[in-house]
Amino acid sequence: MGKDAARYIHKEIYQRVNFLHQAAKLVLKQDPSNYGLCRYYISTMRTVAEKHVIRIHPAIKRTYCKHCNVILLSGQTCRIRSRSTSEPHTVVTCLLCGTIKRFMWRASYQLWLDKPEAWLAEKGKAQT
Amino acid sequence: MDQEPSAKDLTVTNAEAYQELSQADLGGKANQMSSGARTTYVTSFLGKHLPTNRLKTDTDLSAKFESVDCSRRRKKKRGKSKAGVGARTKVKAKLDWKLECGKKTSYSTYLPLKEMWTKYIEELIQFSSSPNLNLPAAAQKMMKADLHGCPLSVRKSKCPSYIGVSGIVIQETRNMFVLVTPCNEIKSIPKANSIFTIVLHDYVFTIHGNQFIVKPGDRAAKKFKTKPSLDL
Ligand SMILES: [Zn+2]
Repeated sequence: MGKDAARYIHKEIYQRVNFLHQAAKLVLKQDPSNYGLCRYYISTMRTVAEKHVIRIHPAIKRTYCKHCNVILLSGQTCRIRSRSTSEPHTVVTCLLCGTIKRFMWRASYQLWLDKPEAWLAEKGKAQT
Repeated sequence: MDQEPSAKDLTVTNAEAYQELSQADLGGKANQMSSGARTTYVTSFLGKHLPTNRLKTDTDLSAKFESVDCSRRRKKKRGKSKAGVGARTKVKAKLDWKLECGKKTSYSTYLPLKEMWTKYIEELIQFSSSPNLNLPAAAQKMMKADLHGCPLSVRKSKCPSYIGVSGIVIQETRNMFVLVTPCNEIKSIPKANSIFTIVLHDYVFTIHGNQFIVKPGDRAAKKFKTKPSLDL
């Protein structure tokens, strides 16, 4: 079924997304007050991914603020606190716009990639 | 049923590509902070966390006065809390961001970005794998590549003062390339009516600005049509 071709059809786009993410990180590290450029890179990255209907890997997606597109670095652009009012979780607050991300501490939680269903569907298609 | 396998394929490549590049780039020089970067970090940190009155140095003391007999100071009224609708709309207005033209920055700040871009483009075009580079394919890839951080120079232009300007691209918008020149200046150059060159190892890529008038995010999806180019 041309697995390699299908797999690498968007390789350039993934490389570009990856590069833009790292560039945004680098710019913020070199000049910590340069939020504008960092935001510009991340928003470009998001539009690129959007145009090609590509999902951004959670490892990347969790490192930027989804509202103002700035890279979240703890102590510099975000505040990380653990709360356990109703259910224990981590709260990441963007210091620039106040948007929060919550991560629950659920032992049973798995990323979609790590779930067995994501793999079974592919196998089923290969057999038919 | 039809969509799921493709989604899986995509995510797998995403993870792989991420690992490949991150090991190559982040492990290296990007992690080390130069002394210049450290001072900029400290100044920005202080600017963010100290109250604004502290950062000011009183130059003109004669204009300043302090009342002695009134021991109680009036408390300043605090504004509304940051979180809420007001803050959000404020940020939205801030998001339309533009680099200030002619503002001084240091060229050395963007050198690691250039280094990273070179590695990225080497991996994308794969210079090392084949001695004879497939030039049309490389050009095709170059069109879809990201140009933030690449060393660019203006070869020809309708406006004579742009000719010969070279530097690192730090922002690409629909109509402009924003460059940082080695003289620590930010210059924005319109794409229209200019021809740009990128030198990579032994190859020279030429970009016709007139055909490049697309947003950088949309460029990858767009098909390039041959337009009549102007004689410059
Ligand atoms: Zn934010």
